[in-house]
Amino acid sequence: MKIPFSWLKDHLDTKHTVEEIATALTEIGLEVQSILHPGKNLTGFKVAEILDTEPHPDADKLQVCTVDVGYKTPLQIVCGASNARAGIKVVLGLEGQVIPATGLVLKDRDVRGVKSYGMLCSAEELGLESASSGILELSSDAKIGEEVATHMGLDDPVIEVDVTPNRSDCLGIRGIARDLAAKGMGTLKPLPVKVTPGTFESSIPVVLDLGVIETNACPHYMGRLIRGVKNKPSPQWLQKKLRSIGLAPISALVDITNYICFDLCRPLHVFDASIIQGTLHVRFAQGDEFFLGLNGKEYSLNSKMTVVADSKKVLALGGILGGENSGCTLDTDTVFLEAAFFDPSRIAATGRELGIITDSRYRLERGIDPLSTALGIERATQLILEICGGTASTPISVGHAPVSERTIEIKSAQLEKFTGLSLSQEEIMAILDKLGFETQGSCHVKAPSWRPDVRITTDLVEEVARIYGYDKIPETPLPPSMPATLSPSQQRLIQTRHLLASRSFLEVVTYSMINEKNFRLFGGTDENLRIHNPITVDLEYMRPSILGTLLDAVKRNTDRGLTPTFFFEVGPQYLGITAEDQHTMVSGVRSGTQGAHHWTKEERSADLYDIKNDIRALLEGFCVSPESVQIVSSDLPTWYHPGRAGKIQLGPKNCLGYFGELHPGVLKELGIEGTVTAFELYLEKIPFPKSKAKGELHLSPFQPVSRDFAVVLDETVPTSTLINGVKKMSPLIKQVHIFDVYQGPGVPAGKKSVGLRVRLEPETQTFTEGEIKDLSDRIVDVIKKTTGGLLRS
Amino acid sequence: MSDLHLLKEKALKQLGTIHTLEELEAFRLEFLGKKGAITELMKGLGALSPEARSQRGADLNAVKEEILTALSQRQQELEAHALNERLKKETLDITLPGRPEEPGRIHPISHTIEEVMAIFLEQGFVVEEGPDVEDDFHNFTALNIPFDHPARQEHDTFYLKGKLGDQAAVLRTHTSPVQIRTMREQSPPFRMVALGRTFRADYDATHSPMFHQVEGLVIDKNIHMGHLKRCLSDFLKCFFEMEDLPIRFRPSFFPFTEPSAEVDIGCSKSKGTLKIGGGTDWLEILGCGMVHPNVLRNCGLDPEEYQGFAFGMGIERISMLKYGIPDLRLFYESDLRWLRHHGFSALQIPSPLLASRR
Repeated sequence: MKIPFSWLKDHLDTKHTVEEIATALTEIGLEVQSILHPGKNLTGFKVAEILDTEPHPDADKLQVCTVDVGYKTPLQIVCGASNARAGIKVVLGLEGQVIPATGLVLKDRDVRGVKSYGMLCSAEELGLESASSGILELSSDAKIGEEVATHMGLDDPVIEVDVTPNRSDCLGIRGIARDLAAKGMGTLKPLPVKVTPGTFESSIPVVLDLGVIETNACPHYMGRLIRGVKNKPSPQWLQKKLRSIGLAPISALVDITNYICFDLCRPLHVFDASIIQGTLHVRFAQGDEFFLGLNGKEYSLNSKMTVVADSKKVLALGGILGGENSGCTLDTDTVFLEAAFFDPSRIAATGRELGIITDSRYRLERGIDPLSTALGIERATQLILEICGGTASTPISVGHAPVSERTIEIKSAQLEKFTGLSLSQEEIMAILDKLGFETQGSCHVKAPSWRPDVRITTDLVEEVARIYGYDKIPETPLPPSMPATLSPSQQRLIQTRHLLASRSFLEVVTYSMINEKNFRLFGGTDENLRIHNPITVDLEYMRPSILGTLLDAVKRNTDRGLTPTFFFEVGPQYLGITAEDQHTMVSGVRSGTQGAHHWTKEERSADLYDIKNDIRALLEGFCVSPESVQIVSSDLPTWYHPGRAGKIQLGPKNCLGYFGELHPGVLKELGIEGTVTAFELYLEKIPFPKSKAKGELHLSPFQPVSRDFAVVLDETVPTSTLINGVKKMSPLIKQVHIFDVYQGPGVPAGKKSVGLRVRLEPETQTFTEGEIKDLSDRIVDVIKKTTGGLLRS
Repeated sequence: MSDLHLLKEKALKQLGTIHTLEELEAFRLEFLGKKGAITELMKGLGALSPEARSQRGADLNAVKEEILTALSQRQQELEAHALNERLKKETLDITLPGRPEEPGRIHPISHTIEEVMAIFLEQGFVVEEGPDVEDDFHNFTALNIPFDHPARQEHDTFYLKGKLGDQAAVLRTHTSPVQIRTMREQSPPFRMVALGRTFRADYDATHSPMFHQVEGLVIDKNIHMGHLKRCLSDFLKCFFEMEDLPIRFRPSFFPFTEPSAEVDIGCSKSKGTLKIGGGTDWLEILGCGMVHPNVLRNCGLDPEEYQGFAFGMGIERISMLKYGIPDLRLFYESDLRWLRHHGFSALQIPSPLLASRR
């Protein structure tokens, strides 16, 4: 909302500066965005008149002008503009002034032998237009010697404020003035409205044709016929006002309605009465009706939209937009003036559906003062008669203003309870009184009709607090409390991040939304997860796996030559739309070569076994023994390589996640070259350690022994079978390491040779040779029994 | 005597000429080995009378000790010399890069979330959670935002195809529904924050379709705006690590709070750079207010008995301001150069143990 300072002063008697006013506005909740000084650069440029011109004696294209700027003697100025001629009012810049567009400083100078004492300026040079030809010509009523900025209405600072959606009353300058007066920034002036008695009855009757139930679509409609008007360009004062808020003047009739809309927050409409045939109906549109708006666009209407129509056609979209064919032109001599109250919700819905934003819609949907209808009619009548002449009918009024009388309690104790401010009851009532609230007894008020937002005591608390000043509310410490802690699962998110960040992973945060292809590739099937109104098809579905967005991140980086990409994300994935279907995952990818072109020549690609270590580190970090989980190759999601991936589980029914190489087909679909290994863990499914005490540890004092075995077995036998078989054999076996896996010459095809180091720890006494041999023989037997493997000979 | 004296003289003189550990070993064998000179003399002791043997033995031992001491000293000298010689030859280019290992990083959003949590945990706020996909009731209705309220349109809500019960499923436009869930599911008093993903259908230089918010709620019998001001002032001063941070509370409007306020912090803008603290400009940082009685009622609380405040702020925004990160969109780009530059190391854990403020 733009507030030209001089316009504000139409309503507010104040001695405060524009800066002081701006500070106060922000303090009372009308946040100032900026203070514009549109004419700042024009200071010193004056209105002047060319009295006479003569050709320059020594230059074809120059003229020597005699210019009156109000000094005793006219000035001589050399000018090159072809439109420079006697009798026109122009803009004169004098020595020392800066040309806004060029930054040049003016100097009196000699132009080919003729002295020139200043410069006649073009609109372009003054920075008013981006291009112009010739010097700027001012209207003939411009006062010689007056500041150009003043003449053009550009000397007025404009305060721009953000009006919150609840303050429809401040979408008019008067509402803002009222708030400022309450803050003590001046006195609210009385409204200059004069009631014009009608001299005849309107020949156009109005009918509210909305059915019994839906009358709230337009509960109150007022109109007035004004005959014998002479429409024309608005007077300077009105044009200046509209220009100062960025509106282009059109014609007096239209300008008057726009002026009142911004001045009093009272939208109005004027119809050319000659277009109206028969009775005016306020009714719902019919399903097949079209409407051509005065913006030149055609709209298809439906039965939920309120229109103003005559017996033949739609004339206006009620409260939103006038019609192209019924608008006032310079030829209009009879106008029908409308002021109505339309239902805010319906205005909002219609405006939204048709995509029409007008100043009228903006105000009506926020809820204007329902009692301003008559005020609008009278103010507009007054101005129309003043500017365009004519005679007015008796106003027509159909329906009733929807005013709900609300008496609300406010006590100083209530104010203190909510804000900590202690004000006397009198101080409270004085503030509310200035805001237009009607005092009823010592601690009740009636809200003014322009404040539909004020309904309950806390609303009044805010009114008083904001006017009194939030800055005066004393800061009070919260009652003391023990520090809180995060839940174990919340702590895990943090631990996960920091652990992975210490393992070369970069944490990323990617969108929860992905495109359809990605959705399908990662097992998305639930169409409920589709976004009805996506901003782009790239963000159309909720991701069923974080890996989808991680791979997009991998691709974006590798496409830019940025590798290797070791990314993880801790975040949500969605299998459906219920809360239970949202899972908190930690997912990571490793892609690319580590150590490429490094002098150690230790170049290698990240692989499955790196990822396995990451998972192991996480489990260790969570105090879950990696030995307690099983890794199986069944039930893999389709986006994994079927032979190079695994499922991590705690028993067959409790899947903790997956890891492995991603399916080459999936990578190809996503345009990613090479291999990518990944993991996904359901953080919420990883168990917490049962107790804090870990039990006693028995440390054997006797010498441990290690024995190596080379076993040849079928290549399809998982190594874990070998390890677990040996481990289970005896409690004396403390560790089983795989130190070699070999296939090639010396090992039959289809077989592999596995090197196994077993660490034996005696419990009661040092092993004898015999005991070691016995244990070794039993190990060989167990290997044979569990895996079919034989000692390599 | 003189034979022992001569032997000792000879040995010590010879020791002076030894320059390598090998020569030293030969020397040891020559004098102290199984067949060495001293050992040989020891063997002759048996033939002497007891008194002579005792005297001779003591003399021999003294000479042996002296030679041993000298030898050990020489050995240390030689070893030190040898080590010096070795160290002179052993050099590595310490400026060569170490074995390849990529640096890991924590994303600034996570870091900021951790910082915010740490500050509020200390003040006794628990951290609550809620789903990203919300129903209309929790995201709007319960928060006193009726369907046709203009504020609802300003939220640019994403709607999902699916429905939750008979209600529209939306991507939560703010973290406020977590307030509602907490109040409906638990008993007062409340002192909580909720942090997480939020979504709005808006994308430009300063808006992202997904972003993060922190929501706070304090409800008890006597919590008023003075508490709100102090709590948020403390938070902002703590978060921006600035005791004298200028803070301004100004009236505003939110459907779910009454009275409502927006909070600005002081800053200075010059030559395109923004500095937090001091200066003449203000920067909007968060919205807050006293929880609207309708919201309390919607959560089964009696507004005559309970009252309190709520606040919400953007994680990315405070992160950008504190750490001077210019472009919002890059938060979600996953450009590894950006992640390395703006990310935090694994050891940067906001915790009272590691706090940098104070």
